[in-house]
Amino acid sequence: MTSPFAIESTDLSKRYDDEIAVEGLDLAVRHGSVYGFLGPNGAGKTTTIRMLTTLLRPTGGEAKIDGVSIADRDAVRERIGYLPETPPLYPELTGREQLQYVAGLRDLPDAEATERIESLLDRFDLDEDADKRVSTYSKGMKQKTGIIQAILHRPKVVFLDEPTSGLDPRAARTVREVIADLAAEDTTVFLSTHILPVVDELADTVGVLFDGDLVAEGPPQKLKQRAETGDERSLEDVFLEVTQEADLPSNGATRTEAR
Amino acid sequence: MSVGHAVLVARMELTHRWRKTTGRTSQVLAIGVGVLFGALMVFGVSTAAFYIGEGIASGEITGAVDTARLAAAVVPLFVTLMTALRVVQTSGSLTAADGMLTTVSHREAVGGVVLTELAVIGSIATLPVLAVSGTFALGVGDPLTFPFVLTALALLVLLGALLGFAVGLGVRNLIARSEWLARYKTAIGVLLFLLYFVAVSSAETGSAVLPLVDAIGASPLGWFADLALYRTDANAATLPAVGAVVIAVVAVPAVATLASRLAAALWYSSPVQPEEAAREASQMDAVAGVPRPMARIARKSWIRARRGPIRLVYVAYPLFLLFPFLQAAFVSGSVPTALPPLLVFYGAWASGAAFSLNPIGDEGPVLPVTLATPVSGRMFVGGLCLAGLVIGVPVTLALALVTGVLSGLGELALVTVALTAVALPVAAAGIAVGAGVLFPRMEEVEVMRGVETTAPSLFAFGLYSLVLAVTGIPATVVADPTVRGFAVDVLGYSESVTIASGLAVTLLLAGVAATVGYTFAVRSFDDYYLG
Repeated sequence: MTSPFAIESTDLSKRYDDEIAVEGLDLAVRHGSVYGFLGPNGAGKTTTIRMLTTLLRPTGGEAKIDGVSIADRDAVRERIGYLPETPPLYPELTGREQLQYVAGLRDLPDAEATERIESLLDRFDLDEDADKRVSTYSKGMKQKTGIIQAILHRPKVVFLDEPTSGLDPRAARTVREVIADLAAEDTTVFLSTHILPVVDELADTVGVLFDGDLVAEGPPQKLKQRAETGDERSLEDVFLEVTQEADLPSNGATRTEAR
Repeated sequence: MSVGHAVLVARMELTHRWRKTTGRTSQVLAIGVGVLFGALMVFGVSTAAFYIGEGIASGEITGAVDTARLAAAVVPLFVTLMTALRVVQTSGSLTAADGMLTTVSHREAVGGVVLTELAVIGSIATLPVLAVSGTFALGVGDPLTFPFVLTALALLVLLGALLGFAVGLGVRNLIARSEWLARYKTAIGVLLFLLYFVAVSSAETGSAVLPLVDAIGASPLGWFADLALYRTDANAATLPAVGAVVIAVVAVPAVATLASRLAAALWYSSPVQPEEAAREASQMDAVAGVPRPMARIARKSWIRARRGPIRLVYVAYPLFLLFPFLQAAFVSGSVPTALPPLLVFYGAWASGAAFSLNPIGDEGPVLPVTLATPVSGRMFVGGLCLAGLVIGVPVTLALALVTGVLSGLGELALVTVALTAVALPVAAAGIAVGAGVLFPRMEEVEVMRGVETTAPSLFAFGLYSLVLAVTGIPATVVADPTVRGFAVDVLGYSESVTIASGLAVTLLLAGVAATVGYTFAVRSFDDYYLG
């Protein structure tokens, strides 16, 4: 039977010697949903994403992407797209060449790759700059190119680490629309960001990571509802509250910033 | 303009450069070697200056002013060229330019940069200038000669440095404004280097340059010779000596102002960005018969190399070892028999080193995405090897055949060299990816002044070069008649058996080394994790 979850993890952990980066993380993200992954700097968000994208080997636990264990790297890579925090581009290539290159790595047929690249360049308003070298791009243009290469091959699960960083309001809106469209097309989006309104607007579920632990999880509306009074507060208030409450003595091992 | 601000800018820049330089052991060692050779040269030149002074004083040397005028032409010419080169490469740029130009005026910034450059030149030139002036005065036996020679030399160096600064900034301005120059600046640089190589190798250069030096010596710059020898040589005239001081007083601020304007024009401009022609946009097309991911990886490597060739500057370093052989061939017009095997060895080495010696580190910030795609180790490593081999094999083979025929190698030796020219680059690619994966370098290093890139690690270079040498030596040494003759004498086999044996050993070693290196690299990539 096919799993209802696009991302599942059980007791997923990453330690560096005695230092804990991520501890016993249990996730269950439904197909076609947007999961907002929050946490202060050094909470372990990037480490988690890197484990889920098969870039880091967990020291404990298990995770599955679209029903496939992350131990099966080839199968997982077929299913995912990834935008790291720093846009991963070669400065010597043009934007178009960079996208053609990644399409080639993913073995997309030329015609399909060209059609998809042109359509996304147009959507992200990059078509006129596509033949300029990446080294001449602004931060926002690099970010947009990075996003395009993450979704170029229509992955089943997309991991976006700070996708709206460095974007102007128009481009940021385009990204939000693209994320919503991806979800509508049954693509699962795992969204890590510090821009809470983006998460509030888009995420079906929000998870807050603190010192390697998932300290809060649920739909934004539910998290924002104050249990005692029923009042609604902002996601920022929730974030500050749960990351403060969670700052409790640890279970023996040293807690440090995630690498 | 505040001189204090300019001094502060220079002080910070010098501190920045000093810490950067002394933070790297290799740089400190290079400086140490440079100081050692420099000290030897200063000793030699100072000794010569002493005897020249003695000869002038005793009347043995006459017409010293005429010779000194040539020196007065050569010194600023040399300093101008060296400074201009440094300015074009790096010194013409401000560190943290935006912050600097919104904090101090551009004149103060220029002042700081010029002072920095003068301090650097001063650190190199002060000791030789003092030593030459001092020993010359000692030789003449007149202490008052010292300030005259010192003043003349110091003014020539100062003028040369400022002129070099202006020339370098002028070139930078041209590059910033001309799309054609911006696009082809590296190719032009390589061409100029080749012209320089031909010039220094050619016996004709001296006679070609001499009229230029004569002309500069006959210009007012030659008056600095009159200033230097004013108290020494009766032929040194008062008017030119005074004229030299006047030239310096007028030219120094004039050239400084010119440099300041050129710097402002450069720093406040938006340099042209060469746009890739539409035809280039399609160069990611597939290569017939090669799987798409592998072809794209090879093409990506070529594009990166073509647009940023300076990243591969380390590949040219071993050429300096070949320089004596190439120079001998160029000057004599005949190719030594040692050259074909040496070129085969270098061609193979370069084929592997260019694209395959740092497979993981060379991906830079793109590595996470490359690893997150389904591209296999076989495709990734194969693509990098392909990038080197498609260029390396034909070029190495052509060089081997042309130089082999020109050097008069026998048929069998020629066939050996040709076969080695094909087999050794293949082995090199395999060995390189293996060594590169075993000793990856992820951080950037300075491969030449102001150029930082993720060059392969020294361990990778060492292992790669060692294994390639062991692999290639049997076939390459027996191609050389002298070594072959020695081998025939020692081993007691015929020439043909000796050649065939050398080739067979190399082919065997090449097959084993390439297979081991390639397999190791493929497996390592497939199993690679970021941490």
